[in-house]
Amino acid sequence: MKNTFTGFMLAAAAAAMVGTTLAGVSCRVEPDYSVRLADKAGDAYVKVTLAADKVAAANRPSVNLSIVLDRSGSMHGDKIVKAREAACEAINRLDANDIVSVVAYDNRSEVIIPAQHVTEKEALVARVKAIEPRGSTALFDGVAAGAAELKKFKGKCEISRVLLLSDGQANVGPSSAEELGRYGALLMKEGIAVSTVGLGVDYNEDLMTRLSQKSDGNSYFVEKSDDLMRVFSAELGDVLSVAATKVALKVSFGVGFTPVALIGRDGRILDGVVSIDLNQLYGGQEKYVIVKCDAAPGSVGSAREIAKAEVSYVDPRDEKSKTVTGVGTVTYSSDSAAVAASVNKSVVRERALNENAMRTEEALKLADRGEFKAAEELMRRNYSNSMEVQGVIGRDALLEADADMQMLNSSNMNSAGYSRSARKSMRTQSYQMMNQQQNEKVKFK
Amino acid sequence: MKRRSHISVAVAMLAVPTLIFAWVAAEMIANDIAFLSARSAEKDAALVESRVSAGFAACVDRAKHAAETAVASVSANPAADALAELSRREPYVRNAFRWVQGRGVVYPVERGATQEERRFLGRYVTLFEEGFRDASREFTWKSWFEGDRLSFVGWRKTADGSVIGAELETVAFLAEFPSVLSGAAGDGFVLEVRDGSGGALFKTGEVPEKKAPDAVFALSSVLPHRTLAVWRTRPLGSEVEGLGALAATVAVGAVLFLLFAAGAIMLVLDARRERRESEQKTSFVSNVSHELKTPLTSIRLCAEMLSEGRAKDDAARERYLDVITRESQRLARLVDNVLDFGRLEQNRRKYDIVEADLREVVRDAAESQRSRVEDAGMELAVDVAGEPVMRRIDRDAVSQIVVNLIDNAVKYAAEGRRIDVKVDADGAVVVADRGPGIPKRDRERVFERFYRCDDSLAAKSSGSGLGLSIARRLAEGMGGSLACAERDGGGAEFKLSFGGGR
Repeated sequence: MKNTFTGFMLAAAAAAMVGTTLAGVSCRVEPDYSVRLADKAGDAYVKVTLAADKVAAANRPSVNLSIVLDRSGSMHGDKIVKAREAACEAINRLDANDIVSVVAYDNRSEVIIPAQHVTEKEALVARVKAIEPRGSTALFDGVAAGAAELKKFKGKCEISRVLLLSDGQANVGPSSAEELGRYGALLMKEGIAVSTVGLGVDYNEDLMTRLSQKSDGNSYFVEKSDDLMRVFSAELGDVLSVAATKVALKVSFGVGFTPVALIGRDGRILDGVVSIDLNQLYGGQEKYVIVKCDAAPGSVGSAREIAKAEVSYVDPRDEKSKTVTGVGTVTYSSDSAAVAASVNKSVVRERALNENAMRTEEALKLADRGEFKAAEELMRRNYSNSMEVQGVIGRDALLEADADMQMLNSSNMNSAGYSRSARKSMRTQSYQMMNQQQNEKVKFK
Repeated sequence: MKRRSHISVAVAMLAVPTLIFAWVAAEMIANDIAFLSARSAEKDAALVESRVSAGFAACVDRAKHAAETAVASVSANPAADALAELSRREPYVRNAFRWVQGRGVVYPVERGATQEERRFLGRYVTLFEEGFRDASREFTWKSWFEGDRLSFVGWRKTADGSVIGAELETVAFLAEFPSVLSGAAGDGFVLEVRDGSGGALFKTGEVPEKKAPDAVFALSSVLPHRTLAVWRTRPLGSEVEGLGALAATVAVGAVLFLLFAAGAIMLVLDARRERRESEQKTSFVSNVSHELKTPLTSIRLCAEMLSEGRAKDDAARERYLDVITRESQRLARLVDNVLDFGRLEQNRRKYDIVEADLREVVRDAAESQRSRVEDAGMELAVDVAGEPVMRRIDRDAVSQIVVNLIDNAVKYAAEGRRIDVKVDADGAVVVADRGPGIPKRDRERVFERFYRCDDSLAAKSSGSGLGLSIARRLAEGMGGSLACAERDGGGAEFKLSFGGGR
């Protein structure tokens, strides 16, 4: 709160940005340069940031969680043991106000624990411990059954979440990334987010990340089952700290600015208005969208509103709909030094990182098609992008780390493309970047 | 050897059909059960299919209805925002569109406001180019394929003549299918929905390995190009089939039991016959020994008398020599019979069939026995007068038969005092006596080897029990027959006939 407030004061003082904070959620609108070169058309980038305050544990909203576990034959051994433990740990962290259900799927889904209040933890845990692996992977069926359990208590809990674990390719049921993405989009409309945990190197990362992306859940890549407990815990930390649900962001633009593209995030650009839906905001988390605009020339000394953001959301603590707004302005100058000095480092950095993430997605596509040279070329551009941007904003730890990662990723390419592990890391990293996932990010070894 | 092979043949004859029958019966039962079960499986599967189809159709209809309602809720000339809101909020609406005659698609806006809208415009480009000339105020739905991916798109004409429609969110009703399937499958079935290329879309359990589905249905009325495969794991109407199978099993069990019982009875009978035969063989050996011993004793006695000069006169010497001659002949006959029997048993007897006068052969044979018959105090009447009766016969065999029959009469019908031998008008040889006759029950058995009918009678007279058996075998060996009958006025009558005539 204090940081945000300080940020607000600084921004107000610079007259480059106006932000309001209200009841836990705030909204900031920041152009990449608050001073633009006069009489010159060009591109402008606007970052719209939503931030939520941390939620006190005692004041957290109730959660409706469905844990959907892969119990196909490949989960045999340590994987199922650790998955059961992680699921049990998740149950243990909930309390009687929360709802939990557990679904296991192989050829078909089976509801192990029907949706119910978490009152008798021991009995619930015992049922989870009896899950044994068998059969194939009806992932869609599993998620559908999990969602069906959630809907039994529709409206009774503030937050609905499917936590999906899979270690394999979905081989029964709708199993393309597109179909699962559509299902994610559908669940998003119903207020359900699906967080996906991919275990090992055999699962389908495209499908899992798409499912999370379209439903605004988190995505995790866990190479060793030992890490499952930590990831479940982190995910639950997010779920228990949801500060806003049904978040809808509308950004309208000032005269002379026309939105043309969103960097990293998919959203609607209609009649010069950008609209984006998010399932939720976690306490202490910032989510943002970067909009690329066509900017018309402006005259020296004048000031313009570049964009105005309006965020409506439901506060899970009092279930009231609330709205916050944010406005960003620019001034025009003929002094290019003043323009350079007005750079907003975070906007330029995040733009670069998101562009890199988009290029990584593109590189994966190319590599999948066997166009390894082109893919490698894109990864090198990522690296040089991270380096060049530091030439603009100065040395930056995040960009340096990104450059290292890009270098590693491009060196992870061999004659057969990316290794399965590298591919999963890259896919999950790019998703986590574009989704601004804050917890348990994949760290490239 | 011969006996044993008989038993083996009997056992084989019993075992082979039993096994064949059992196999056929088991096969029939299996077929029967398979047929019944297949028929009922098909019936049950059809029932399940109708549930699945109805369930799926209900899901799709619900989705369509929700989409129709959502589309109907927007005004005839809605703002772009209102259409965007449809796909943003309605779970069953994936994309909404508005089309105006002459302008084409006016929403989504050119190139789309989102990635999804851009793809939507690409997916239905042919539909939009075609236009909606047939659109009415009623909602029209059309199934649409992009590759193997199925979607539904529907539209209606609005008050101002434009067309507003929606693309259904396919996964919305797909997500409801697993529970429909599980409900329809219950415990008795495994169901699998397959896509156009045979891949499994949904299944309700582990599909039985290497087992073709009991039935496969097209789900075309609800989902084009999709099929439903049904395996039945437990029949619905188990009682009826169970009874049928039970009845069949009981029937086969009963038949098998009867067959084995019959086999067992045959074995017991066979064992009894075997025992009787071995008893007969024992008595045969003692008989033959006795038969051999008696003439030998006589011959030895006479020979000793002669060699010791104890014969008082020529007449006595003559009598001793006569005894030796007669007893030697008797020995020779006996040995001949035993040898013949051996040959006949092993089927080594050769027949020398020639055209001959039966009367002449019979007369010669009978006459050769006259002295013996008369020695026994009997009369031999031979009636062979008349035209020669030409038959294809083995002279020696006929002769031996006649001798054996006369010998038999001498042994057992001496009290009748008369033996009649004749060749009758049909060309059959008849040897008849006035003895005690042969009881009806023994008339066939007298021809069995070693068989001697009445123990008291047999005790009085010596005999090997081979004569009649040999006679019949010889008769049959020539293609004739030998039978025994009761003689009018008492006694036995043996008739040797040659079926073929000349």
